[in-house]
Amino acid sequence: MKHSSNSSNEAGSVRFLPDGVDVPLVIEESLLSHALRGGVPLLSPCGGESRCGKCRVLVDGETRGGGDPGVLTRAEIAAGIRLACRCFPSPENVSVTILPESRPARLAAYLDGKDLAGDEPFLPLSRTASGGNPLGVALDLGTSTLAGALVDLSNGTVLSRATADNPQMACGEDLISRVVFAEETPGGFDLLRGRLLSGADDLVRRLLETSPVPGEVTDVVAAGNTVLSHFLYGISPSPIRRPPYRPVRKEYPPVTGETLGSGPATARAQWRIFPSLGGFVGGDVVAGILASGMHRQEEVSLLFDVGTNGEVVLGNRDWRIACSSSAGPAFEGGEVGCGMRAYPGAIESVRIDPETAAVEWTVIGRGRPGGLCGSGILDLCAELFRAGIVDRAGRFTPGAGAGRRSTERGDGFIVVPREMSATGRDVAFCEPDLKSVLRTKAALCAAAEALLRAVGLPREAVAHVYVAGGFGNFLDLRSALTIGLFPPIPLSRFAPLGNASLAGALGALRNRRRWKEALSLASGTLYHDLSSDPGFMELYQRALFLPHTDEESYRFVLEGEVSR
Amino acid sequence: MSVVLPIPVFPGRILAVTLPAGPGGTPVTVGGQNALPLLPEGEHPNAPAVGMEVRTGPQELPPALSGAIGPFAGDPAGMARKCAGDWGARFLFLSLAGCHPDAGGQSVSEGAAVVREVLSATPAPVIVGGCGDEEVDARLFPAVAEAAHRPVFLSYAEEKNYRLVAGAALAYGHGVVSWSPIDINMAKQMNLLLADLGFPPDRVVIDPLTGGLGYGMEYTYSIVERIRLAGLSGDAALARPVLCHLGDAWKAREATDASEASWGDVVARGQRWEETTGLACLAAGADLLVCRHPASVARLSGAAWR
Repeated sequence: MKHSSNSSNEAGSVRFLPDGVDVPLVIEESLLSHALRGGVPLLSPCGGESRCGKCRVLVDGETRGGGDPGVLTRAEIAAGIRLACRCFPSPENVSVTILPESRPARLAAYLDGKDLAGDEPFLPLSRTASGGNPLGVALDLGTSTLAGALVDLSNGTVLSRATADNPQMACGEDLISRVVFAEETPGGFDLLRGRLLSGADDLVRRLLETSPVPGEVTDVVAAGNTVLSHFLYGISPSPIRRPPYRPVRKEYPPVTGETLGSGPATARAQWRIFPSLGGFVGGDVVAGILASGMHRQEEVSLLFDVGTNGEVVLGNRDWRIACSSSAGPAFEGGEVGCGMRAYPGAIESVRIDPETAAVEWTVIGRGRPGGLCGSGILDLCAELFRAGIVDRAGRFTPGAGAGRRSTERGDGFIVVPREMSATGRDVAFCEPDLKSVLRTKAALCAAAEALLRAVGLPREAVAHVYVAGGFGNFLDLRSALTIGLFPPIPLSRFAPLGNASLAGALGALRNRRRWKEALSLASGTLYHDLSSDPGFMELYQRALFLPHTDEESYRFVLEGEVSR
Repeated sequence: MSVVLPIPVFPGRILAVTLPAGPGGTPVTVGGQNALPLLPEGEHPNAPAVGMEVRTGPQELPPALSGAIGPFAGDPAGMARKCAGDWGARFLFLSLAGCHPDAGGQSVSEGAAVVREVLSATPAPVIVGGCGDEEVDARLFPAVAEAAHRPVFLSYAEEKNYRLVAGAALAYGHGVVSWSPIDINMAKQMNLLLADLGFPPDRVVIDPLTGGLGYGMEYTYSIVERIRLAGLSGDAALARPVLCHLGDAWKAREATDASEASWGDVVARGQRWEETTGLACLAAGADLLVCRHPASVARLSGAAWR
């Protein structure tokens, strides 16, 4: 999607490093806008509203603005570090280096998903290719991450898998910022839609490049949340963010890639988009239900999808009820100062010695840590609580032991000192981060409790708990229950699903009955709107505590192992 | 055929808490019941106790109060003696409002001196309230805890300051009032936080924040009732006596406004406003009432049967 703009009569350009991309200079545009225009990857979780302070760049040349003292230290400003969303170039050539922590990276951490619904006969959707082998693409369109798998439709083998950042990230990390971006920026909707399509195209191209079997893509099955499904289908998601928060449509009749505007690789393929349940419970959750197999069991299950948003489904083969909680992106690295996605350099697990407060961590990939990903953040909170460094209310206890530091963002804990970090800055976890995690976990736990209450079932009735989402594969369940991320249900009933959305899409691609099942799931699953549930706020307040105001139940479930 | 009436039996019992008195005074013990108030079943070893507020600093008294307690303005010790003596208050709530920067800004040591003065003037149990300014209270509570030469209760500990207040109380053997803003969960959370500090549960009473009649009283009623039901049902963190401070009743325009002739006599009206708020709190399950009008003490004490 080339953004047609640029009445640039200025000479000069902005050069983005390390990619070496030159973008014509428009003096009234921020560096972030230049990066967007030039397709340069740059993290901007808040969508350029200068709230997040994550679009850090190193400028060489004359610029104006972007040196916000509250966000950047004096030394950083002196070194030429600026916030791209608030920094404007001068009418000369400017070179801008995107700092490592501000660059989206790529990793296959979000790929694996389990399909617990069992083996089934291979019965693909369609397999008439005009030339070569018929191939199918399963897509998981996530708010932050796109993931895909390529399937040989003649025998059901998975040929390749790939993952990429959702290129829409630069226009806002959360869905609402993107809907706002689409509404308020001229050409914003087309830009976002184009970014999603090009992201999918890139993914498909990589899938085909890495596939051992050549062929022609005849079918694409895509599972995404309602907002992304709307973008993909070319309809405005705006109604989703306004009362009564209903989507324009919940079902997306199959269309060809050509109609959709996808790239040549999938232009002749039939695109099937998973139906949505409601404004904030989308096809990714439907695919997750499909993969969990909860819709076939007599026993009642809970399904958590922990991603940039949190969704919860409760039910069995006869009934299901789903809701979206305003969980926030704390476990995707958002809203947490030292948070990052599960890329190389992210701390994925943490242990703290309660005696010495010495921290041990493991990092994804090799090299120095730059921040913490979801599972690391979860571990860190649980360990800080267990070590007594954080109290039940989510406040740092007074004291000056090892790792404790008072920062400009409040009391904090230094997970990695700057000498050992990849960024040269302390990886510090501060009180606002803690509060953000507390809110996220409270919203998720309370959402599950609200569903149980809505159908009048006790927690004990839940036989299985499925945890979907990239982070579901890696999270430490004990840490999760230590901070009360989930209701107090025995650990043995939990099963991580990983990327269940992709697994569900794969299942539908391999067996057309599954696709029919998905369509019936959408109409057979009730959408529970938490914002109009009068009891939700109280459940939320109950959960806004470590591990929970009902601490006895958690202690019971963890059998005294982590009780204090 | 005789009909057997079902008598609810609760598994829990409210912890008995004693507000200690000085030599020659009568301590106030509340709690200990295993049933709801105003019902015949269960045991109610201790009736609710009614106390009075003694406030420092300049204050603009509404008409109904100025006649009754106006003469004691600026004389907390004299007022304390009068409350515990002639007016029958079983305990005193000494509010150090005068230490607030906007209310004269007495120094912390002056505040502490007032506490000593009041404690010497009467042997009645005393709860000492802060001035409401976070920064001043952070210095005031430790000073009061140190200055008080006999055990008092400090009011109040909330999520933001509980370490400081409870720490000061622990160091000098005082009790604390555990405060939360009309929310049963936050009430429980406060008590769990205090328990984590090792604070003795029998030195904690719950202040759920009391809204005046017409200004949130029904919320308080509902929360006090739920706190009590939770405590009686076995939630130990909520099985504590509840304190309701009726001061909010005096913020209602209906209790203080003399310009509306059709509303009746402002003096009787104000007193009635406080009394009605107090009666509702008693019915909900409150164990300790703090009132500002001397006449309310007798009226509410008379109603405080179990």
